[in-house]
Order: sequence, then structure tokens, then C-alpha cells
Amino acid sequence: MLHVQQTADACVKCNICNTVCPVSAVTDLFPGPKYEGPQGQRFRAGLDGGSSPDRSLDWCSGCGLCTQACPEGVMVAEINSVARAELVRSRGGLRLRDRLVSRPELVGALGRPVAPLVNAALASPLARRLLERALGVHRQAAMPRFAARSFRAWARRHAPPAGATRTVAYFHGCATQEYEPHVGRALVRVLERNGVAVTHPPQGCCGLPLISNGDYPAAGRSAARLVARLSPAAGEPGVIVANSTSCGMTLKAKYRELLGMEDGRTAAVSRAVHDICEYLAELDVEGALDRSFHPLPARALYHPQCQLMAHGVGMPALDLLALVPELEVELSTVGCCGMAGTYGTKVEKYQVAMDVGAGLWRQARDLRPDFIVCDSETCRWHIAKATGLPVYHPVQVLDRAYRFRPPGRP
Amino acid sequence: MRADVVVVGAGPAGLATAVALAEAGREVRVIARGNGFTHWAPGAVDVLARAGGRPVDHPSDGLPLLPARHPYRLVGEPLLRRALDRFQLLTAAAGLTYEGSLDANRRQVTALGTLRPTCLLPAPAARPLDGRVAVVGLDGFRDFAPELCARGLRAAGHDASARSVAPPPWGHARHFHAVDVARAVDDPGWRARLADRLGPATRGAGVAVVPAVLGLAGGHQAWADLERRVGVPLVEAALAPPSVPGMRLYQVWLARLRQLGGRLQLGFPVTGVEVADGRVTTVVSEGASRPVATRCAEVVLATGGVAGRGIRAGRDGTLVEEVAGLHVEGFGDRMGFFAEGFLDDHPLGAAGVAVDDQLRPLDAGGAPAPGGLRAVGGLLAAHDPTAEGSREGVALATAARVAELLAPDPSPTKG
Repeated sequence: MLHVQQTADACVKCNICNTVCPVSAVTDLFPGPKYEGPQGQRFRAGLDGGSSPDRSLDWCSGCGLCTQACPEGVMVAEINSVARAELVRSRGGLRLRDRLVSRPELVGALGRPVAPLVNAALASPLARRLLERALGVHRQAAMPRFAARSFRAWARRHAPPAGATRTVAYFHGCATQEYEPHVGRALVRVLERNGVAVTHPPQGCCGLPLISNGDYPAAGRSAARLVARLSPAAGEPGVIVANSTSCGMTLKAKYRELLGMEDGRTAAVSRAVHDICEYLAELDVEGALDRSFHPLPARALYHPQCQLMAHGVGMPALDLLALVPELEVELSTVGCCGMAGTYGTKVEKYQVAMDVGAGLWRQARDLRPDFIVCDSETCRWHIAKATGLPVYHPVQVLDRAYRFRPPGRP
Repeated sequence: MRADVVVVGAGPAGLATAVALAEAGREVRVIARGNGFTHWAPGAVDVLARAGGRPVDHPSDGLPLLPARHPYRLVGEPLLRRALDRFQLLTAAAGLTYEGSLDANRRQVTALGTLRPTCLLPAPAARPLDGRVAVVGLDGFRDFAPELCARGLRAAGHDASARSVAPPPWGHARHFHAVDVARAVDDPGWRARLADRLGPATRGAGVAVVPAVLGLAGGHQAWADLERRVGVPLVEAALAPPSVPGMRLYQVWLARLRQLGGRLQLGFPVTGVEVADGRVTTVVSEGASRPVATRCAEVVLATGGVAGRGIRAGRDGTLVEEVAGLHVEGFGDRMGFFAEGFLDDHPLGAAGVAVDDQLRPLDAGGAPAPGGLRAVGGLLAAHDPTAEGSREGVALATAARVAELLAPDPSPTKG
């Protein structure tokens, strides 16, 4: 396989990547993926990135739409990511804000014992202004709330039903653990409904926020630790499902492409990882998915997250939602909502993130859906904040359609 | 994953096929390595500009000059006509007006001031170059040099002169490309301010040639509005990629496909097909960490020729069809790939997969490939889309043929 940087040689300068870039479409601060990626690469020495001639690459949100659109196989977004890591290294590392936002596990460990306090503070405009001033986290940026009880605390006491015919390991990631245990519970219920037992291997942060922010050495440490912990599950049961699409994508491809982890153990974990909707859609292809959903008379807007498309499996959630009677699903026409993990939380980038998502906010206003569906957690928070609508993970919708009959129906 | 029909490739042939099949009631998934010729080509519909080594003014007259196995000969002129009609209806319904017919080629102005022959022209490129021609560029826009365009037009006998206007104030302090301008033109306020500047720059001219950047999101509406405001016919000149007129077309196809429930999956090339009992059952594409299998009833290859990467040319002179390893009609010798001059017609451009009249690929001995497999567009043998100027015509005609073949008797969708 070609090294990420070598793919720059395949660029034919056609500009297709520039036409899909959601960031350069809304701000002049980012000149576009072609210039930063394959063009800029010619001025960087060495395969490890080399010093970058242009610091504007920090405005790349890493959505990856450029890589998907390129007809020549240039890994445009990945070239930018490697170059950013070199930029960060040459600056002597991340600034304090970026060191914090890129460590969800640390934030979780610090915040969990004082969760009510943190939740109250994040809900206070004054505290948010102070946070913005002190750290550079935008006062309006969507922030999750700590859940009363973590996912693993629930999972430890959860008694799985008998009669499972297969087993998967669940990589829930940081967001489900601390902020959205209800998504994890829905995922477990949907799997168990289909005769799939769920194990909960020890895990931790995948390192994606560190990769996105440009701290590859720290990301590599997170990655190595996670691979060691998930490695047994890659052997038995052999399937690891993940509901965080970006973390799943990181495990599948970015350890190899960006962090250079080409060992067999990493490869085995990468191959074992399935996005939860990908796994459920595969069950359905086998005829093994329980299709007995109750009607869900509602209109939904589905936004396929940019990095979901980097799995290369299409939009499995759309296939699954189509099985729910009376659920009307409209497809988002926007390639990226703008959030890009931690990008949209930063004071200097928040407005870019809002402008990138503007088409989606408009579509939501015009369509007036009952709710929005999106596979990725940080996108859900951003979209909910911007539209004022509830935003669910697809498994939450499936879980509901399995469990609840609409009122007044037989 | 599962689909009824998988179309491989998202260029004009793939998208036209996907839309035609979706309109015929099939459930379609397009899987492609990335965007394709829609974004590269100038957004016109080339049907036939050269045949038998000579320029063709009337495509319908040129058809009999083509070899017997040429895609047009395989599908027949009546279907080609219907395909063009349907294309004009489809695009018109989405706000893109295409002018022309199979009976006469028209001329598309390029950024070089050359006049390329094509069959159907988007309305913004279709105004006649009558009287004095003002060629108007935008200061700082690197993809359109009005002096160069005007010089070319003068060489072609037109009374053309170059002007340039500064773009109205906007958010681009450094460089910008065609799509940046097109998005700005979509904004009515910015468009009105641009019209204020184009007015004086086109005074006294019978027609104005401008770069093809007059709006992206709203079909031809921004161009029509600007023309009305400026008061002089506006002609969009084709630019180097990215092609705004081509992207308008791409958007129309994509929107129609999605409206009919079809899907588009970009970024991961199809690497193979699986066959059981002489029939294709599954398309295998690259995934983030392992191959992705999509079960399907039918597969249509719309991957293009060598330039579209549907065919890989090896250093040893071998030519291999990328997806199913189909036999490619080639030249046996790498030295036979190319002609002398860079802009000559290179034999490699005509390399392709031979098919029967049902567009089923044939092996070296003339036996058909596994059932359920068909090929369309630039991948086909016995034609050279570039040298003939036939790219979109072959795409539309073969797409229509596939839709005709697969529509009447849909196979069960369950894999």
C-alpha cells in the first residue's frame, strides 16, 4: 500500500476536491484541499510530513470529503492530517485548550466525580464566557452533559437475555460512556432483540481527537493501548461493533494510514470493527434481522456524517430506517455539518462550523422533521444546538420502533 | 450490503444509467472511486464530431460511417434520438436547458477562444456570436484570460476584444476558482453588483463571452437573470476543470437519482465481482479495513476507459479491465498505445471492452461474460470518446439501452 504522502503523485490537479470542500466554501482562511494537500506536499520534505509552507492547513476540519471525491486515489485529507501533525510538532506540541479537548477520557475522569457541578457550569452563560476567555472554547459551542450514570455502570448490572445465537464485542467509546449511555443501552437492546449477545471489553479513547488536533505521538499511545485491550475481542468473538462512526473509522483505517501501525494485531482489530448499522444491515442481508418493527409515524431527516462515508459501506442506517413502517426519511443534502469532532468547539472555528452546516439548518427549517438522525455524537450535539430539534442515533430509532406501539394502535 | 442493481462509476455513463434504471423502477446503487468526467468535461453533450477521420457537421450523417461494432451501431439511431430527447426533458425539468439536436452540431466557445463542436449545448453556452464580441474576464481569476480567448475568437473570424472587471467585494482576498465565483453568482445581491460592472464592460457589444461560472445551485436561472440585467446576450466559455456546467449536470442527475431512492457511494473503488452458476451475485468494493460485499441482481460497468481508470494499462503493454478482469481489445504492444503528437488521436483512447448488442461483455473468443454483467460508456470498445467527440452521446445511448433491457422484466431484488 502507498504511504499517504505518496498518493500526492497521483494528483492530476483537476480541482474536484476543491469543489466539495465545505470549509473553503465558507471561509477564505482555508484555501482548499488541493492547495494544502497534493500541491503543498511538494514543498514538504520527507514522508513524515516535513515542515509545512502554509499554516492555513490548520483550518482543514478533516471531514474527508476531498478524499472521497478524488477520482485518482489521492488521500487529500490524510495528507493534510500528517502535515498538521508536523506543524504541531514543530510548534512544540498542542496549546492547552487543544490538549484538553483532544482527551475525552481525561475530561471524563476529571468530570465524572463532580458531574452535577460540571453540568451546571456548562449550562451557565457566565461560566461559558469564562471558559471561552480562559481556554478558547466557544461560548455557544454544543457541549454534552454528563449522564447521571456511566454506560459501563449500567452494563455491569445488565442481565442479558438467554438464547443468544451469536456474540459481538462492543466498543462504546468515550461519548457513550460519559454522556450518552442511553445510546449504548439502545444498541445493546437492539442487538439482544436479534439474538446477539454483547460483551464489553476494557477499552479507552481511540485517539481520534488527538489525531485531528495533530498530536500523533499521544494518539499513538492511545491507539496502542486500545489495540492491546481490544485485541482479544478481535480473535473471539471476532466482531467489534462501534456506534461512534468517527472512532470506528479511526480503528478501521487511521491507525494504519496515519499512525503507521502496520502490525498484525492492529490489522486484526481493524478488520473486526463494524459500524453498528453496518453490522445490522449485514444481519438483514443474511435474513437474520428481526424486521418486526412497530410503526413510527414520523418524519425524519437523516444526515449521513462525513466520516461515516469514509467506511465505504454506503448508508446502512438508511436501509435499516426504511424497514420501520410509517417512518418517512428525508436525506440530508449537505456533506458535512461542520462540527468535525472538536473543530466546532474552538472559539476561532465555531462560526466556520456553523456556516458549513448552514445548508442543513435550512433543510431542517424547510422540512420541519419531527427529529433528525445522525450516526455521530459530536455532530448530533452540534445539529441539535443549531436546529433546536432532537437528534438521535439510528439505533435509538430502531430501539423505539421495536419497543413501542404507537398509541391507539392494535 | 445489498442492492438490486449496482452501477460502477459516477461519470456521465454511470449516472445516466443509474437514473434511467431508477426511472424504470429498479433499485440502484452507484459505487465509484470518486467523481468523474462530469466535473472534467465542459457540460455539453458531445455525440459525434468526427467519423471516418473527418469532421462531422451533422452527427446523424456520420453514424453510418462508424464501424459496425461502434456503440451507436449496437444501440441504433432511434434509441440514440430517444436518449437525447429524454436527456433534454430530464434536464429541463431541473432547470437546465439544453439546445440542439442530432441533426446538426453546434459550437462551444472555450477559454482558449476555440470553437469546439458538440451536439447539445447548455443554454448559457448557446447564444450565437453575432456582431461585436466582448470577452469579459474577472480580475484575479486565473482560469480565464480574456485576451487569450479574444485572440482565439479573432482567429476564428470574430470581431472580439478583451475586457476585464473587478469582482464585486466578496470574501476572497487571495486566489479563487470557478466554483467560488459560481457560488457568489448564486447570491442575488452579488449577482446584481456583478451585473452593474458587466454593463459598462459590454457596452456596444452584440454578445459577451464570459467564463462558465454563472451560478451553480439554481440551474440556468442565475445566468438568465444576469443576462437580463446586463442587457447583452451572455455566452459561457468552457474552462479547465472543475467544470461548473458539468457540475450543474451532476447535481441534476444526483438529485433525480436520490428522489427515486437510488444511492451514490463515493471514495472506494469496486475491485471485483463474485459469480455463482454463471451469474454475478456480488460486487466487492474496497472498504476502510476490509472488502465490502454488495449483493445484487445486476451489475453495470460504467468505469470509463484508460483515462477514467476503467482500464489499467500495464508497462508490459497489457490492458486489463479493472473490475471483472474482462478482456480488453488492445494493441499487443505498448508502443502502439500512442501517436506521435501530444494532441494527436492516441490508439489507447479507443481501447475498450467488446460487447454484444445487449451490452454484455465478450471474451477474446466472442463468448459472453457471466450473466448479469453489462458495460456502458467510455469502457466500450470500437469507439474513442475523445477523438470522435462522442463521450456523452455514447453514455446516454448505452444508458438508455441498459434501461430498456432491464426495465421490462425486473429480477427479484433479494440476494
